[in-house]
Amino acid sequence: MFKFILQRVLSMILVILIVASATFFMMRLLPSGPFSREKKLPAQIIKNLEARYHLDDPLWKQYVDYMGNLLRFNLGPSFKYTDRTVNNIINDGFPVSAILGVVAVILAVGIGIPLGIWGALKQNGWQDNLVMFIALLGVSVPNFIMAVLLMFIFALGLHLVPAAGWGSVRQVILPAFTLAGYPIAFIARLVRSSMLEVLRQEYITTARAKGLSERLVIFRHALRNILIPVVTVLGPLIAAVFTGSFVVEKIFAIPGLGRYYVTSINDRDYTVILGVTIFYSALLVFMNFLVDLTYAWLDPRIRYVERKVS
Amino acid sequence: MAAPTTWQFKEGVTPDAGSFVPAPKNSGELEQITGRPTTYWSDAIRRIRRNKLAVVGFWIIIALFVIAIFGPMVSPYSYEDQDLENTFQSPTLQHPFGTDQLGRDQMTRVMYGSRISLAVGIVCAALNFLIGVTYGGISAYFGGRVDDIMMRIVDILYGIPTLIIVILLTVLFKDKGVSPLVNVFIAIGLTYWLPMARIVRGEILSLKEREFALAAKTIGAPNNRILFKHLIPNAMGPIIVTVTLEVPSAIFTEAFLSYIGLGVSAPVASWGVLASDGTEAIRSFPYLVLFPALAICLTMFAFNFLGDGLRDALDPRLRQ
Repeated sequence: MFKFILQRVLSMILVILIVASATFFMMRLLPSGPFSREKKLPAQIIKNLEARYHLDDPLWKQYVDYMGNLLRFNLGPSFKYTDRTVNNIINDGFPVSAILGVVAVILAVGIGIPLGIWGALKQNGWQDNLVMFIALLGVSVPNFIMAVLLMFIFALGLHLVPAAGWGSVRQVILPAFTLAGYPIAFIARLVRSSMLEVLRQEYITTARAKGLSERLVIFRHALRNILIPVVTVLGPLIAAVFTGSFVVEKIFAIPGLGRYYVTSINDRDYTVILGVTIFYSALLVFMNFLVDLTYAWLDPRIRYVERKVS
Repeated sequence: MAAPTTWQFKEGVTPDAGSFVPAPKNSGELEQITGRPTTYWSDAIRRIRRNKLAVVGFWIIIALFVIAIFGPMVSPYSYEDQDLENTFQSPTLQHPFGTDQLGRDQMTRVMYGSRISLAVGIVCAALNFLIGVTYGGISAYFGGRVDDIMMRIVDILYGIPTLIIVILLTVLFKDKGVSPLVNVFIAIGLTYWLPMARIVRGEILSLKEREFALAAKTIGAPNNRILFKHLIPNAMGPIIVTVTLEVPSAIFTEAFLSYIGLGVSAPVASWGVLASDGTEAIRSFPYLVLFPALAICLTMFAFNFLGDGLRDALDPRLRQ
């Protein structure tokens, strides 16, 4: 187990380093500098600005400085908002996005798994068709359409919840459901197909032959084996929730990190783009690491095997 | 249905040597194979025809292509002609989908948008095919260290959300002065081949151990011939399924990018731009977002239905 963790941690660090370097050089490749405005600044001012942000240093020195700061979790100042650092922005925005994301993941797991089980137990019945249809719907409706649709029906039409904003519990409902839409569909499909597979296995027959109640067979014996595929897709689904937050936070006017990220892209605020990209990648890689650990803990067969396919 | 047997027992008698009766004279004919032999592909087509959702998806896609090609030609309006006296018209006979804030005919714009979305879908599918299949194929065929290095690269790229890579590439190319549509093509094309590379690699890894690959090798076929003429055609089923399922996500990504202001921008009418413009006016003019939203959803449905049907029909591992 220790070797497994060490190996994963090392590869995690490597991935974050590569992402950070690649993004750094990409941002420096951009032809329009961070200070190119519509009104051209005098050459001397640009020079002073560049000196202030050390942009007149040779590229390798800038890179080494940036990486050094990165190790100290210092992501530098924002070019656009001179009084704010990238760390400020992440500190402000991330907790909001995190709450939204956690609620969305809980919804996804809490709704997706029962839906999938229900579909599998009634295979080929109308319930199954309904579940599969909901699943296809969830995969096919883009999140920004889902956001607009939910807002239109539940906020503007039925006045059940506020249309936008952030601060109260009722304001979390719509964006969280929007973000959870795709994961719910994905998990329901996955659970349905793995449930169908598990139910055909012999240990289930054994459990039934022992005279266990159907409830025990499903929840005690089958469910455990269904959790493993669900855990493996949690990584990509968390990524989907992150990227979904870019547009959902914009539509629902939520002051989260996703919205800041999109704003910084439209503003060409390079340090913020760079810093938040690294932050997102690090977070996702770390989540994948946690998912892998959970996976190894759930399924002991994986633990000591080298992670190598054929 | 029980097949007629070529020998029978007398009724109510326990079988012994005397209880046999002569077989009917045409018994030989009955054993002949009557149906035409089926191949992998005709089998798949037969299966997919029985899948109603997939057939519906297929016809929706055909209809979309027809509308995309001929719709804007037939329409009396152009997607960028403004008519400032008739802004925000509700749907009428003249403007079935209404008009937008500059009096442009929304139906023409939605039809024009289908051109962009389908173009994104096709170009990305083609790039996906070219890059993903070649990459995965080479990685699996040569194996060993080549495979290790190539797959490590894929693993690293996999660790970053695709959309973030696409956004970064879009920012990079946009500032290099590439036209927005080409930009979206490049960004999506450069990133969406990853799942394809993995799937092709998995297929080729097992196919290259099969006898026909060995046979080709023993008669001295060069590597690229074995890979592209023998191995990849045999992996066509999973490849087609992957392409069909990548098309909707490419279409989604273009709409998403345009929606957050990174893709194509006005006056060009991409569905993402239309939906974004419509969202601004949702309280007063909900139909403006309704039609592009329906168009996006319908397209995504159609491709997902077809892709799902194809997967059931083509992927032998999922056969019951």
